Amino acid sequence: MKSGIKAALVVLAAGSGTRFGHTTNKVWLPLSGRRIISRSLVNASKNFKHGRTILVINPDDEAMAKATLEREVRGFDVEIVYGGATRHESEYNALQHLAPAIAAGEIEVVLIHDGARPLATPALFVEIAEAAHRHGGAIPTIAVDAREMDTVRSDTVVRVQTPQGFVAQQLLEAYNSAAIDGFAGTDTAACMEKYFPNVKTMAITAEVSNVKITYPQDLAIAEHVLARRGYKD
Amino acid sequence: MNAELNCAHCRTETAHELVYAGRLLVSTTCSVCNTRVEHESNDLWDNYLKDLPHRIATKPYRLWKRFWRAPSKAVTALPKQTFGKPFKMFREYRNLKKQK
Repeated sequence: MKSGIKAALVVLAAGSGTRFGHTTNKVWLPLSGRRIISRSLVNASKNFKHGRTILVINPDDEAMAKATLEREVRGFDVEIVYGGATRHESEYNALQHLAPAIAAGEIEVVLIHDGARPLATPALFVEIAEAAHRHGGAIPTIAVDAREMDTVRSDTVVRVQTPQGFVAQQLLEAYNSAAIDGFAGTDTAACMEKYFPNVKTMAITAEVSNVKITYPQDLAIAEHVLARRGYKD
Repeated sequence: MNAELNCAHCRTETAHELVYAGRLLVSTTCSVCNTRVEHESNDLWDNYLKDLPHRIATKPYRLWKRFWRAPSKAVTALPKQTFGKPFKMFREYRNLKKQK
């Protein structure tokens, strides 16, 4: 069932793929027949009736992005925005692109997603958007097993994933304030926490399968997960 | 194909060479330390054989999409792709066999 929330779905893929010569940014790698970024974009947009999809790229990748969108992403429009040197800058650029629509009330919630997480399901995007719409913010989390940590803690420690969703107006204000102060958060939630500490950010239980493609073995894991899902989502 | 991935051995992001068979990843090799990560061969064969019917079943739809998008380009490319298919399948087989 599609969500009626007016959401902007920002997918980050601005990492450089040229640090080691002729190499590709991992988001452009094929994963079971389609590129990682295509899977991220389709899953992000699939369940929104009034969604705007933004792809943040490195300017060097524009030709590849356009060819990939034409070949693999159909049925909805994807707006391309150039990213910055850091994740924070890329998020800022995307929010500036959306600023007029946010000011006009055309976007209620912004979800920011890492393009290298192709297995985040369309249902997770809706869950995050609805929780962010209701409470102010929402992030997907996985509880860390105590045996994975080298310190003893009594509180629950979680591993945070993406998509991270927040009310659009506040998120834009937070990033505008951060630009003035020169603050760069490690992720979207860090910036919101600094400028809107009173906004309630809900921790949504996510799936372990929502892996971020980082190590070579993550590609193999992702292939297995997709095969188990019958290559859907 | 080359891409930047984190190497568990180098403990940093390095260029990796990736080898595919069809739609499946066969192996990755770090260009700095030559650490090779590969699918366990039986598992890879198993997955490849499972994926093959899916590829065949979806081929008509994928071809149709290609024709719909750019008819003249699709028509001109079809003979080359058709004749090249056995060689492509052979390369996939060779990549898989290397794992054995």
